[in-house]
Amino acid sequence: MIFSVSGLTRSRSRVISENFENEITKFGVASNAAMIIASGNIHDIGVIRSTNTEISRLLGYSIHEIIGQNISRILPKVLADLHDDLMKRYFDTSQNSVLGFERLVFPVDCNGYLVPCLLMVKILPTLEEGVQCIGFMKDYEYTHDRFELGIDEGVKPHFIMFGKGGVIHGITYNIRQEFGVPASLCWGNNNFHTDFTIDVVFPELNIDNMDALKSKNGAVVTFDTTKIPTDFVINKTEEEEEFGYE
Amino acid sequence: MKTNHLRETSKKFRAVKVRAFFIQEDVYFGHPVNTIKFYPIEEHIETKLSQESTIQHEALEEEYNRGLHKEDTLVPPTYNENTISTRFENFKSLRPMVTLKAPSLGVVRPSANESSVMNESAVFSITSEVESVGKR
Repeated sequence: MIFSVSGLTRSRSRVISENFENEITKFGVASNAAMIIASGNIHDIGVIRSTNTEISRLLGYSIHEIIGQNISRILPKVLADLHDDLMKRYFDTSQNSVLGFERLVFPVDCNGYLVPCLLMVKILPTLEEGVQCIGFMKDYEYTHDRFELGIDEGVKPHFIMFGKGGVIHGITYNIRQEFGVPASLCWGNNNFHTDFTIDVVFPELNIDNMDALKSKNGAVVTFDTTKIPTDFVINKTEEEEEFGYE
Repeated sequence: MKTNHLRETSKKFRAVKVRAFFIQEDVYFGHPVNTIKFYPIEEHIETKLSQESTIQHEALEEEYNRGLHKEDTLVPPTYNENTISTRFENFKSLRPMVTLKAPSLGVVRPSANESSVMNESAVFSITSEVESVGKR
């Protein structure tokens, strides 16, 4: 019995150490992860203290543009308004829903488009700076989709974020590139009108195919942007400009 | 140029079939935040086709490089003065000269107005003519 318990302990410690090694490989110094250190102190909660040059590659900001800014600068407006409160809630209650594990997040780049990234957040207490949060962010990988769904290499997914009433909060840049939808139509980017909703671009989306959408294979629906030039005002310069994305 | 560019841009607004997935459904302080991921299906097919054509093109190029392609002879020559004259000289030297030996009249050559390229029937007709002349 004792032997089996010690065996269990050994295997568990091995799993933990393997996970730790995986984390180091993914988010360590040798990886191309962007690193952001933000304050967790009550008087300047969420203020970015430090970052590395990978942030420029991922989000297009230079380092001096975001150091000293609140972390909400790189979040969609709907989350930016709530982020400080979310951090405060964690420090007040220690209820942890994001720390220590990898998750898919959507920061906003310098042009207002969502960038799918994998994020790992850890707490970094120091005597000099007090409590700090350190976030490691790296490119979202599509290998799972390639193998599971048979998607060709190089074909990237498109993402749309929406909230209450179907109001669209953000889109990825490939939607702008391939379907002409500019980020300025999204809520919080230069305007706060709520006309640009998910049913404008997904007219077939309803409660009936919601289950199919949540399934492993998804649902085949129509993505329609033909109404956008007639129903929404799009700045011509915005329509023409191209950003130096990959 | 500008007009073309604008026309190209406006083509982006279109309707396509996509395979969509509901990937996130979070609620922060009562604010729902949902995310949908989708892949255009038609473009996926287009990408596949373009990849196939690229592969075919590469295979053809390889064949050309190895000299295996059937249409090698159809590759047009480079036309400059020297090449044309050289080719003409080669053509002259390769011109088929029909030489027939008749038993009584010796060597019979085709006259200048006769076709330089003679097929078997033409050779036969000349031969028979020579034979008939010999008999007379």
